[in-house]
Order: sequence, then C-alpha cells, then structure tokens
Amino acid sequence: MTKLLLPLQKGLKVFFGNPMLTFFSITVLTSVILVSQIFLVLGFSINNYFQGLTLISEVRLYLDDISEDKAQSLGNKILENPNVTHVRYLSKDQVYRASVSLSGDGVSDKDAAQYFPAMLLIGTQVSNGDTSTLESIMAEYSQSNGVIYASYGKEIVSKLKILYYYISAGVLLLGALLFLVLTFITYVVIKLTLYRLAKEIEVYSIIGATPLFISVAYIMDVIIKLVVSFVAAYLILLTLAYYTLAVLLNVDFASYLVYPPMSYFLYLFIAVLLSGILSSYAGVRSFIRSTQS
Amino acid sequence: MIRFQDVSLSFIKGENILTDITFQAQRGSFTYISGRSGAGKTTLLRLIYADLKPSGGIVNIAGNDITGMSPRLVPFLRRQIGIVFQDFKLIEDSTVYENVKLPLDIFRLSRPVMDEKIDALLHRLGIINIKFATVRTLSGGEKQRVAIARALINEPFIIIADEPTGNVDVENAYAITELLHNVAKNGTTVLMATHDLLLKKMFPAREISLDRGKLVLDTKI
Repeated sequence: MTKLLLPLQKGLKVFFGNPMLTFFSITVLTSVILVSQIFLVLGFSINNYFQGLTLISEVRLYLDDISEDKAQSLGNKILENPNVTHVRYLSKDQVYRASVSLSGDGVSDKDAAQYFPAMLLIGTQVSNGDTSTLESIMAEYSQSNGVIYASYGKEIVSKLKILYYYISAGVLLLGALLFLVLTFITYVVIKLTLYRLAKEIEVYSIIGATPLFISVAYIMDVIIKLVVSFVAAYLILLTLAYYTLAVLLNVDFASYLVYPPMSYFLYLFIAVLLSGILSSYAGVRSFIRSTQS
Repeated sequence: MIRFQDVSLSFIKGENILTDITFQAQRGSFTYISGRSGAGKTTLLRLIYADLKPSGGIVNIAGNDITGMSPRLVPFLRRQIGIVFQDFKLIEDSTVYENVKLPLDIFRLSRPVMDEKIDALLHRLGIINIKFATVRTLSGGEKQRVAIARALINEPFIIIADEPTGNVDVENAYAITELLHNVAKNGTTVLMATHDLLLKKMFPAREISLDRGKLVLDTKI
C-alpha cells in the first residue's frame, strides 16, 4: 500500500512545493479546460439541434386540367400513405396569386390565372436532410392521372444537409485543435515545474533513476492539477451557463443550450488526463535528455 | 573494473578535451585523478558514469562498453556507481534520511529494510545524529558526508568523487579522504579527483595526472 501511495506522496510534494507556480498552472489549465467544456456544451447543443431538426417539406404535384373533385379524390388517396402528413389543394387562381405574391411584380391580370396549373401539395417529414421519403413520394405520384409534373424544394433540403455536415466537421476540427492546445499547455506547465526542480531531477538522474521513475512524481503532480482544474472549470461552467447567461443576463441563446449527460464530461476528463499524462511524460523525457550531454 | 583504452573526446573537431587516455583501475583500488583546473579531470569522470560518450577509444566499466551503450541502459549502469560532487548535489529541502533513501527508492525496498541500511550507514559515517535534519541547515562537511552516504547506500562497485573536499575545511577534508580510502579497502573501486597535494601526501595512493587532456603521469603504486 505504501509503495502504491509513494507516487501520490511525491506528486503532492511537488504540488505543494511552490504554491505560486501551482496557482498559476491551475489558472491556465482551468481556463483551457473551461473552454473545452464550453465547447462540449456548444457542440452537443448544435448537434442535438440538428439531429432533432425535422421539417415538413412538400412535394408539389402540378395538375393538368382536372376538376377540383378529381384532385381532391387523388389527394385523399395520397393521404392514405403513412409518410404523408397532409395534402393541400391549390386552385389555378390560388397558384397564380401565390406566384404574383412571390415574384412581387404586382401585375394583376384576371385572365392570367387560367395559364397556371392547379397543384396538390403533399406534406412529409424530413429529418436530418434525408430526402429519400420525398423522392419516393414524388416517384410514386408523379405518374398519376392528371399529374403533369412533380417537384420539391430539393435545394433547401440539400443545403441544410450540407450545412449540418459543415458544422459537424467544424466541431470535430475545433475539438481536435483544442485538444492539441490543451496538450501543449500541459507540456509547457510541466516544463515550468521541471525548470524549478532541475537540480532535483539531476540528482535522480545521477543515482540511476530511469526517466519513467523520475516522471512519476511530475505526472502525479500534473494529474492532481488537472483534476483540480477540471472540477474548478466545471463549477465555473455551471455558474456561467446556467446562472450568468440564463438568470442574470436572461439571454435567449441560453435556452437553446442542451446540457450534455455526465458521461460526456467523463469522456472529456479521460481525454484531458491522457493528454496530461502523455505530455508530462514527453516533457520530463525531453528535459532529462536536455540536461544530459 | 575500469578500463580506458586510447580514449579521446572532442566537442569540436580538432579540439580534443581528452587525448589518448589509457589506464585501468582494479577492484578495491584507490586512484587520485589530479591536474590543474581544465585539465580534464571532471570530463574523465563523466565518461565513467556515461554522462559523456568518448569520441574515440574504449571505455569499459564493470564489463559494460560505454561507447555503444544505449541511453536506456545508462540508469542501470549508474546504479552500480556512487558519485560524490564538490557541490554535493543534494536535495536541500529534504532531510538527510530522505536524501540517502533516494537510491533505495528506485529498488522499491521495504521500509524496514531501507531504514536498517540507512541507520547502519549513517552510524558508520558518524552522522546518525543529523538523520532528520534538513540538508539546508548542515555544514559543508556534514553535507559531503551525506553525499557520500547516498553514494554508498547501494553498495556500488565504483565510487567517483569529483573534488569532494573542495567545499569543506581541512579537518573534514582529511576525514572524507580517509573515509573514501576505507571504502576502497572494503572492495569498492574509488576514483577521486583532487589537486590537494597535502591530501595526497597524507593518504598516498596511485595518481593519474592530466594536463590539457593528456595523461602525463600514472604512478601505479
């Protein structure tokens, strides 16, 4: 048991050895970890927002000269499809007026409406930019009697899909970048500690300690600092996100934030620890080498 | 035990720090390494504990060839060598006990075994009374005894002492040199760098003298 506690004892000795340096290290690490936790909340919220985004898109069936009754009958038949949420009929006049309203030219021609087709608008759910349901509905009903053409707002759906991919890629890229920054900062923090303890490391090196043996105390020191920083950052995050933003400032944006499950924070903590252990070991090794001729 | 064969060392091409050094030191022998400042005494000793690698020749320590030794193996070589420095190289904020215990920590011995070894050695060196004193509070002579205790605690084959009497008074210098001679008598090979003529006279032993990196005298007593 004593043997197992020895690295922890050594780590605590380094941790409390220089309070100013420890305070500085914890401040820097807390800042970076806080940024990564904020990023986790934002990333999770964005992902959650897009994953849950379901829009009702409509397939437009352009109708030949068929009566409204026939169109309604076709609409009722289409409505039996479980993927269809609603069917709306637009007469030639309604289509004409919608067209004038969209183009905004305001030209009013009573006879013009007869040149416009009537329409059936078939509503369906589109989740995460998946257009397969729209495609299958369009294929199924475009050949129906009285239908001359079918289409849907493909462009907006695919743009939404691409936007989601861009955001996902951005989140991953920034996450990786943040991880590198955290690793680098941990490396710098341990180097600062090592320069202070250069003489001690030299002594260890002289008596035949391996780099791994020497590293243990400093790795433990970094682990303690990371644990303290992670908890501090988490408390700041809670205060910042759920008190400052939502309560004090009453920012609308805060209501869109989705708090990730604790397991996500646990994964982040493991990643932070791994990065700390690897960078501190690399720091000690390079330091020992630099002190050797 | 220690074998130097035509050993040269240079950091800049054409400017040798050591040139063609050849000597051997047997088990249990005591050897002074002498010479003026900058003669190459410390450099020669650093070659022994593989802090430096020779540019040419062979350095063989207890059967290990330093020249081609992997950096991975250097710590294991150093565990067989006790090193004493002029500036002690102790952890000032730690106690005597903690400093002497350091080499034993590496071997992860049990606490009672460590304590027994440490107490016996501190008794032998006459510093048991300062076992729990912080190194910072000790005199130069006491610090050097602590450094010697740390060097001896692992019962090494070789002791390298680089000007160990440089920072202590005359009385302590004699005591430390006598102590190192006794260590040699117990079978440890001791190499001590010094330029103190009086010490060499008081405690005669083989002397290897260097001048500008060249071996100019080997008395082989």
